[in-house]
Amino acid sequence: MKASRKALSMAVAIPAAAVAVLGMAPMAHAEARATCPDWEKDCAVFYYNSNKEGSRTAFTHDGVANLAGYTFLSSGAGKGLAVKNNAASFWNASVDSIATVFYRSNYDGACDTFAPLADTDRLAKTYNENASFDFDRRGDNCYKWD
Amino acid sequence: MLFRETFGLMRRLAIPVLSLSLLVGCASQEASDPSSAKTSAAAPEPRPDTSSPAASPGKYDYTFRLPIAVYSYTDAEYEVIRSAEQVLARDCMKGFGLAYELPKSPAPVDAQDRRYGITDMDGAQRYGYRMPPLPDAPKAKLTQDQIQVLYGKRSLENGADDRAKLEYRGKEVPEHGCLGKAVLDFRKPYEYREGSAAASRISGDSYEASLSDPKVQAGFGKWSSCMKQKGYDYPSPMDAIESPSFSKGKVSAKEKETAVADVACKQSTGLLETWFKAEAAIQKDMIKKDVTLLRKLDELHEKKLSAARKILADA
Repeated sequence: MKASRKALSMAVAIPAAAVAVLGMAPMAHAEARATCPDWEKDCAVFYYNSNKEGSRTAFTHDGVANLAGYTFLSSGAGKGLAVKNNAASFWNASVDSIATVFYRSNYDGACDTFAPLADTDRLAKTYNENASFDFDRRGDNCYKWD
Repeated sequence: MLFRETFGLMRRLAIPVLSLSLLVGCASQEASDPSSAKTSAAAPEPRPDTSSPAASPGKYDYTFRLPIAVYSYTDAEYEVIRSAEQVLARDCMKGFGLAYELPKSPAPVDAQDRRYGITDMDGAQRYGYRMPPLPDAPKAKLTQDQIQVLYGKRSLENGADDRAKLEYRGKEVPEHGCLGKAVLDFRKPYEYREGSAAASRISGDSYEASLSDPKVQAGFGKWSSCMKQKGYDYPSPMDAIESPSFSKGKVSAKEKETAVADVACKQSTGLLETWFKAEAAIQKDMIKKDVTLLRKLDELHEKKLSAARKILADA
């Protein structure tokens, strides 16, 4: 999967580098962990590989306007690499919150809203272009396919 | 189509949230309108533009006027599904001998459309490039017992690792609780991952292709010149909204001024309509290639909505 994943990544090269903020510490109130904790009702998980495989990072509490600075945390392929513009699949592990993934930082550009407990094997729209996300962003005018 | 169009209009008017009774009312309206059944073999027509063509780009909706939008649920439709899931969760709770009062719908919010960056002058003046704050969704007051059965393992204490707790009075609680079970069970018959993936891919690809469209590129150039005249140096609207200082810390006066200039330049150069038209044309070609998948996706959405309305009507 890795070869085709990277090939695709290059094929969709967008000037995302223009927004790279190297070394910036995450400022949001969101918390990042390797796994969704049982006691959190809202949790959004980014995976390095398609089909919810590889290293992952689970976010709770709040969305993140700029995923720069976050890395994949669990063991597996991609551990330690950047989450921003680098995730291939996604799971909204929230029981009663929608979660929206945006192509660009600051909730900009194309976006997908995921219903509670919905997931995607391939972040098709935001494939390797996941730059920000938020919980419960009602009225965000993002598409809802599931 | 009446139901979808009506709700589409409502959503555009930023009244996305309806009470349960109103949802049920709409459900019966839907049932009595034979034209509402989307059984036609033709691809659904894009929702008609019900706003005035002269409407200012302020809170104007771009995303849900694009051709692919007819294959997406609207916010209002999501609310119908969410309400139905709550009814199913309540029935599940009943099986545990627990009452569950259906939560109130969240307060209406002004819709934001940031596909082409910020477009709302009022929002730019007040919040700069930030998302406006959302009112808190109404939180139901639940007992510990209700929480345990409604949320399953999500109700465990911080650090707890005792799966034995997933029983309530001797009866096994679903892993994701009654609410999670309702969501997952209700989704299953209508899930169509291939269709969702195709629709999502088209939306992403068209957005991306629009960025290099010659007319959009020329529009960026005009916008950039306009910004320069106002003292700001950004090649494109993406460069402005993605400035790191515009998404962290407090909103500065400079950020608000930049945001106001951004929206003003989008308006004076007509960039938003140029961008929208270019992407709409790109999407039309992409949709043709995947129309079979998309039609099936749309049919399943309609079926799920019908089922949700029936659950609400019977509740």
